[in-house]
Amino acid sequence: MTTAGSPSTSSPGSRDVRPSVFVQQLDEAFARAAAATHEHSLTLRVAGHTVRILFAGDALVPFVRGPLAPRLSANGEGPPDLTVRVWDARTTDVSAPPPPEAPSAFGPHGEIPGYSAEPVLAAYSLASGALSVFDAESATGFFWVRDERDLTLHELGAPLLSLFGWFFRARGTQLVHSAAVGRGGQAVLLAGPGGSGKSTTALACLAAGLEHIADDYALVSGHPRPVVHALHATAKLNADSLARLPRFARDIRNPDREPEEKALLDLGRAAAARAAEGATLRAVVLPRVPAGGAPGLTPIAPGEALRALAPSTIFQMAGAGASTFTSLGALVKAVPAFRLDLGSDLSAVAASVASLLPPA
Amino acid sequence: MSGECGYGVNAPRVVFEVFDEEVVVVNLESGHYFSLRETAADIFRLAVTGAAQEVISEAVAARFPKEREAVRTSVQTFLDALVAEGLLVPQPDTAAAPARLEFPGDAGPFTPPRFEKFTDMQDLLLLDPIHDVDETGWPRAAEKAGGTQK
Repeated sequence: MTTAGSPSTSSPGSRDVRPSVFVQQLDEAFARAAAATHEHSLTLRVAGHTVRILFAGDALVPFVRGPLAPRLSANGEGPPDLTVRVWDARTTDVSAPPPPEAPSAFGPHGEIPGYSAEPVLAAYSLASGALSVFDAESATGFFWVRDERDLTLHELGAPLLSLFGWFFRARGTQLVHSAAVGRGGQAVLLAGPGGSGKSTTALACLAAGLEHIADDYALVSGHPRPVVHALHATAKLNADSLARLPRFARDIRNPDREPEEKALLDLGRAAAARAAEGATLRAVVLPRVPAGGAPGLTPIAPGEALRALAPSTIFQMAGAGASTFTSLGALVKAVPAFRLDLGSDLSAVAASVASLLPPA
Repeated sequence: MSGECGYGVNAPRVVFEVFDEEVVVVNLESGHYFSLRETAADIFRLAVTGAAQEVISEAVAARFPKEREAVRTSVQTFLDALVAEGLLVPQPDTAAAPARLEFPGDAGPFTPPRFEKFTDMQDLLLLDPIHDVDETGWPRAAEKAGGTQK
């Protein structure tokens, strides 16, 4: 075990790198970090499961609590289905154990060879220096970062994303790269590449009175009729879209951002609490900025919907692959899909989406 | 390759989903994904059952008797392209050839099979350079300007 201040004398080639040993070392490191500071806990209810987050020190509490505020639950929900231990090296002076494989062998999403399938999955963010590890046998996750100030905008908007994805995938619930809105217990997924208008459409729907379930990642469970669950209550918006939706300026968490950086919105007050127990999926909608023609909905084939949902989900998520593709294939066969040509009138955009949902 | 050879999907690197009017194929290794329609979808569906190349070509050519040789050539070119993209792999054993080779519906004029290829996910699979590894054994975080913020 190493600390932030003491060099490691081990190398991956000379250590016992069995996943069970790595998990034990992580557990011990967290215990030392908690002993050096203090332990704090939050309990969440996510997609029908109880998640206990244990913090060593306070540095990462806002990172988790803000985006997941609508998922917070009073303690006393019974034993957790998932326990996640969270700490940073900067304030606890305790680092994660050294990597079990040389960093040069890491995959494109920081996947660590030998840790890409159950029982233990692990990924390391080269952008932020954050490590996520999930042990399926004990339903325990670990999240460690050297310095919480290095976390990326993507991570700040979607904390613990890989851990939630791994945990829920083993329970038949898929983390999908998609925005989602709903009303009356029913939901629409808004899918497509970055810049297609997912976030703008979802926030236009929120402004029009629909529930904002997800901006970037939604949990989808159940067959034959999929059910959408909220996770993070955040959204990211570029400057042009923010200018069209000025009411959300009050929710910006990063007012000092760089000009080219997206605004990160905290929607905890307004968005997703009512959707916590799940909303039945009614349709998949692919927003796009039209090259011409009238705005509105056009039915599309399920294959087009799968091409919008599956690659971006699979290739953004550590450890996602064939099972994720199969789940999404079933999803697009279960509900109709539409293209939504966006016009300049965002209230008309919201009305188009709302037409797919039951009346208010 | 010999007409007696067949094909199989290049699992586990490649996954696919069959719809009525389209087959969506994803190469999990390269990040490329593909849309196959009409004759291209029919050929892919046959190929992944283990049908021999000769059987596939004949099944398609039978629908276009006036263009038989051109069709056979076109089908082989297309199968070779699927192999070159790493979606199919040649298999010597065609014992699992399918019993059902008919294509439903009117043939219409022959259009050479083709796929639509999408490469927009490729950037997500590019390896970030490994930065300095510090005393913890883990790489240092990238400079903010080089991060992967969305």
